[in-house]
Amino acid sequence: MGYIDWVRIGSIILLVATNSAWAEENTEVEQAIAAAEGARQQAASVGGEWRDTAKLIAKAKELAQAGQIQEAIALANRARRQGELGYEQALREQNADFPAYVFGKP
Amino acid sequence: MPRLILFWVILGFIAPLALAATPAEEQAAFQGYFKRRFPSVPENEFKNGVYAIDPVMRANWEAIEEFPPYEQAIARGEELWKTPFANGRTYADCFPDGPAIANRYPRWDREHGTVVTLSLALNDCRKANGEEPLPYNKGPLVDLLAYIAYQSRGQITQVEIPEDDPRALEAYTKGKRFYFARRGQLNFSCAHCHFANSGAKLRTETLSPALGHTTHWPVYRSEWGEVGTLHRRFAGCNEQVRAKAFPLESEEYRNLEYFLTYMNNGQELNGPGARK
Ligand code: HEC
Repeated sequence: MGYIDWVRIGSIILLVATNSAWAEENTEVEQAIAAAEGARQQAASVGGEWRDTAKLIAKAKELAQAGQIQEAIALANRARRQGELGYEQALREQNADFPAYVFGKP
Repeated sequence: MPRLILFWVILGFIAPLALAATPAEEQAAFQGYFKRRFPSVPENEFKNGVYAIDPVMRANWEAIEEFPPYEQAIARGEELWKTPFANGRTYADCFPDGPAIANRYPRWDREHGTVVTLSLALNDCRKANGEEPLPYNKGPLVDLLAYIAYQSRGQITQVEIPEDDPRALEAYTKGKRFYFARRGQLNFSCAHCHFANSGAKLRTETLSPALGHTTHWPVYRSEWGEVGTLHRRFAGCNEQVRAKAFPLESEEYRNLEYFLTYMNNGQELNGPGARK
């Protein structure tokens, strides 16, 4: 093979590699955002959604579109965690009632 | 050993009975708690919120009340009350005893199996007369509330939980659970601020006791720069603890209003109010 052929093969390998790394990152961020959205909805289904979760998800989507994939994944993970905590909190608090001190005698 | 088992069995039967209080008992405990906590505040002062317990803020508030910032809302509301709908009828046709009807709400609506607030009733009246419902957050509906509140001054809070409809008790209980549930990223319940810390400072604000919380709506808040509703305040307090607020007039907030207003039975109405 001549010099030109090596260059051709080399660039093809390079293209495929970066492309698949890019694709891998892309599915990772998509999955992170989908998971965050799922957790947010689950918290909402029991009235336990937190104030900023939807905003974090929106911001994560923006970052992903701007190509800041790692930052987007980090935000999406934070949002997912909020969704999970809000859900657990609502279940834990579903039978909340008067604190005992209210019934205390003077 | 068998004795110990017997003890637990008996306790298992008794404990739930001993803990389950009726709404009337809970109301008495609620009001007693705040009277013990603020022994120098006369019963009929709680309706003035934080100004009943903070003398410095009170002086400032009394000056504001000399030129009430909600006066124009009352005037606009009166105009709306008297203006006929397209079909020639008016609000007075829906509310023959109006406009002084504030202490009839919130009320349990048997037919629809839901809590009806005054805002909801006003929009129901509009719909029944072929008019578009009004938005709940600001504008004409809040003006109408201001006019009705003003005309209802001096009425006594008297929410009923009809005993022959278990769904009413369920709505009350849901409102109660909402009130005491920790929520949001800060993990606070309403009671954390308005029971145990009432009278204490949160940043620049003094926390008001929950007794008196339902008497004076709608309220002109300097921070809003306009008159707003109790549900708007609920939403603001939810967001303070970084929980997502619920829609105004949602079932959650109507049940919450039902519970909280029932807790305030006996308190005099003095809306509209002015707050910081
Ligand atoms: C982090 C503390 C905090 C929590 C939790 C909180 N609030 Fe508040 N709330 C405030 C502050 C601060 C104000 C304004 C000062 C005042 O009147 O207490 C206020 C005001 C209010 C008022 C208006 C009082 C008036 O006189 O006009 C109502 C009603 C109220 N809160 C209800 C609630 C309800 C219901 C909840 C639970 C959903 C709640 N709050 C949770 C801090 C809190």
